[in-house]
Amino acid sequence: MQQNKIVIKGSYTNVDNLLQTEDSKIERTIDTRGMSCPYPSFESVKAMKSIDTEKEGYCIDIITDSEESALKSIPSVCEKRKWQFVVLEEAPGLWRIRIAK
Amino acid sequence: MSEQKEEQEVHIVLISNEPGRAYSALVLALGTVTMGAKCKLYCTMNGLEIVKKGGASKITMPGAPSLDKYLHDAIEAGVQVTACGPSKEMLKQMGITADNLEPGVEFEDVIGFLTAALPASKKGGMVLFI
Repeated sequence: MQQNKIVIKGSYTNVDNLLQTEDSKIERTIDTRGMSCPYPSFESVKAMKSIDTEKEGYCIDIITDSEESALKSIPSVCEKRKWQFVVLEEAPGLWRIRIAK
Repeated sequence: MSEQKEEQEVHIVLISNEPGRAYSALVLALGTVTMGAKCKLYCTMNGLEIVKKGGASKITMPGAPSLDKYLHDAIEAGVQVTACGPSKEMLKQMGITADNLEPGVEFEDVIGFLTAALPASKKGGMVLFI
């Protein structure tokens, strides 16, 4: 995870903890590639609601090829809902956003 | 997505079944609930075509899923979708009855719309005409 460049992180976020999450604690990975607006954010919120936020240390990964979603929309949805997030650039034009309550 | 703890509300009036307008209305509705605000979509005139059973699946835009996906996702996420027919005769002429509305869509008249939209706009809500 850490070899990827961190593009943005949330204000409530413990980046080290989030990036060191074991694979088994990634509750869901949602692939929003190719989706049109506002689906990447909409599906992210749906995933947020689908996981038990009481469980410690669990996170969700969101994959997106939408720059707008990766750099603006999903971060702003996370901030508004007080979720931790970190945006990583996996490849040019491809981002992984790791989020946790 | 119906937690709606937020006070903010967006009330959308859709009067057209033109794809550019119908998609815009539903994208905005999905965006509103994604942001945790409450949303209502009031369909009237040609906007009624989208809530007629099977109507939204006939509305398409190149490169986007057909409009029925947006409509069903919106309803499932807690967007309140209502259908307004100015008169029984107009609804009949448009081929709309209670039996052929999309599931989850309810009839409402303009007074019902305003009963919710007026207090919402008073406390800073948005009312949009599309």
